[in-house]
Amino acid sequence: MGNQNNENLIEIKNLKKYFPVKSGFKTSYVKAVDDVSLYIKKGETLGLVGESGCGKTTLGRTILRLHEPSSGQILYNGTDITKANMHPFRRKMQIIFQDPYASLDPRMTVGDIVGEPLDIHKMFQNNKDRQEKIYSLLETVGLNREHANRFPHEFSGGQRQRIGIARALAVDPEFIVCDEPVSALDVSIQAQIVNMLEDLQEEKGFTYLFIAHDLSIVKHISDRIGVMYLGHLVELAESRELYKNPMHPYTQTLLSAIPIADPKTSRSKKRIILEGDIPSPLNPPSGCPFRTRCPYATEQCAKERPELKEYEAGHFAACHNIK
Amino acid sequence: MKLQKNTLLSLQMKLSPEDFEPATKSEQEDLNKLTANTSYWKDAWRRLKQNKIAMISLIVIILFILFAFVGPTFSPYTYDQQVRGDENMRPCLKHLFGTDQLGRDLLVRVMVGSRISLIIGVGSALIVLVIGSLYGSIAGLLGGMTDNIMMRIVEIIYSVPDILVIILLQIVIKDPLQKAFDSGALFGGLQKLGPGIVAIFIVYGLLYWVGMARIVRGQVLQLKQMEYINAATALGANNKRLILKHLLPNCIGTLIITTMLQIPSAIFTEAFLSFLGLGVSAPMASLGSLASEALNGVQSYPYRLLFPALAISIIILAFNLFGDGLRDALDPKMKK
Repeated sequence: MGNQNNENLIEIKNLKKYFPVKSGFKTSYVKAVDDVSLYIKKGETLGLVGESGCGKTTLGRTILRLHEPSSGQILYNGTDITKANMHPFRRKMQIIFQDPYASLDPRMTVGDIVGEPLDIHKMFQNNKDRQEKIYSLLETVGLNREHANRFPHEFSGGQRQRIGIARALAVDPEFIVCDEPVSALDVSIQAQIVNMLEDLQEEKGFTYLFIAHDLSIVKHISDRIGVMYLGHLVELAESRELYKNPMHPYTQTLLSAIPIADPKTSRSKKRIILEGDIPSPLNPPSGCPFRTRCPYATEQCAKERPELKEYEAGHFAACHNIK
Repeated sequence: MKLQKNTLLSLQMKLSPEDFEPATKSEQEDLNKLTANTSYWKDAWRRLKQNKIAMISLIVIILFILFAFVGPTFSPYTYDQQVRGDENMRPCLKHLFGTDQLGRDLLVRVMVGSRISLIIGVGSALIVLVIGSLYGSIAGLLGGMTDNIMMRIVEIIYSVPDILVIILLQIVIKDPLQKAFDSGALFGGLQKLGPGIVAIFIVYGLLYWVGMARIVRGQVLQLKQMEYINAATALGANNKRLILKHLLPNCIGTLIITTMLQIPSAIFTEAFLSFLGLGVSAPMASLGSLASEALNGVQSYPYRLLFPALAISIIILAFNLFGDGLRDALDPKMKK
């Protein structure tokens, strides 16, 4: 885990991303990210967990302005980039995609894919230096220079993910959004990629936003963890603190779902099982988004939306029932 | 390597200790080569080779290109040479396709006419390709209001009766074009072809790209959802780069097929226009103008109509069949 200080590299204030859905003349909105505020310190890894469709990926992409935010503010190193021309910031912020099969252009060679950012930002004037940089990038992620002339379909999933990582590293970024980088991979390959990401962070001082739904991997790599539910951030705490002392009922449920390798402890463990399904983000419940499935829901929960409050130092949660 | 069974129905394999030895260096390299060889183009070529009709069409097209471009150099006559005393001859050894009422050899005129038709076919298809693919990909990529307006323009062009527009345009542009041609070297290599052909190119550039634009837009709408487009955007690629480096190369199959099928339709349109008297100017011949000239004496000299008509039919049929074969080869999903 990287070197930490108190400087915030990324700061998000009340970020919202609504997608319009047109049906006939009526336009309704999917509230994919609804009023999320958080900060990411330089050199740390912020894990982001939540079930499918809760808006983690949308949040990651909105930070990079791959989606235009509906409202709110994104600060990068203190600069507001919500409306700014992104071109200079594309060199600072990169993304690693979930699906290594879809994220590489099938008509380009690996050398061209990794070299594309170099061309876009005109980082090299002569071809030989550019080629050397491509080779060194490939070697950084554990591929050979001979691979540069091949096409993506000739590689396995893990190798393709390495190509995607090499592409993200090409511009020497400071901040990388890892959008479920290992969930499409085999378990044995997952460890390789996660370890590589950690080594790279140690070496180059990257800041990660690590999005995943595999809790054990997030626990392994993250300094702090944010839990999302239905577009809202419901809990945010230091990694160890969150696992030891989950405050929000949703987080407690999530943690109880982690399988334990030892059958004896596994049997004695109580698993919290939620009723019902995740509500539609088109028509979210009033008040607290989790109240429809929460075992502790009260009348207050239906009326007011709980704010994200700091209950212990660095431990935030959004729930009315925390004392 | 195929493993032998003990008996025909047995599930046991005959194995020897040699089967379990590690692969040698050369065997490993063979395996590597095997994986490297299955590229998109090789795969398509393999599928195309299996399609007999497409391969025959390809051979016919190649022979026709030779006929049109190399043929005239072997002929003792030129397309505008009037041989005195040989007027109105039937097909014979001296003139294989016969001659017309001015004593011009029909064989060489059909060759030159095919050349003009092929040039027009390929030229128009390229014009359509460039305009249509750029327009379609811009509309598809930008989306929203821009897309809306651009596609409404396409629909307006689509709904205008093209023959009417062509005839009006021909009348309007013919004079200024003629003047431009007479005044000098504005058109360079096109100078030889005459203003009629340039007018046809202009008509194609104005009217016929809309089909291509629609097809490309559809493809782009599908492709722009792909993750690698997001990746390129995250790297800072602008729209120009997205279109030229990612979107168009990824619909290359569709582009080739549509262009290929555009060629026969352009050849047909040219023949049709020349038949109406709007195409190439005399003494230059095109297949359409040859057929149109032949119509005057069709009762006495039916072969004059037969040969150019046959040539048009063969070219169009061959290009269409080859285009269909290409579609099946490049894009197996589109096969019915």
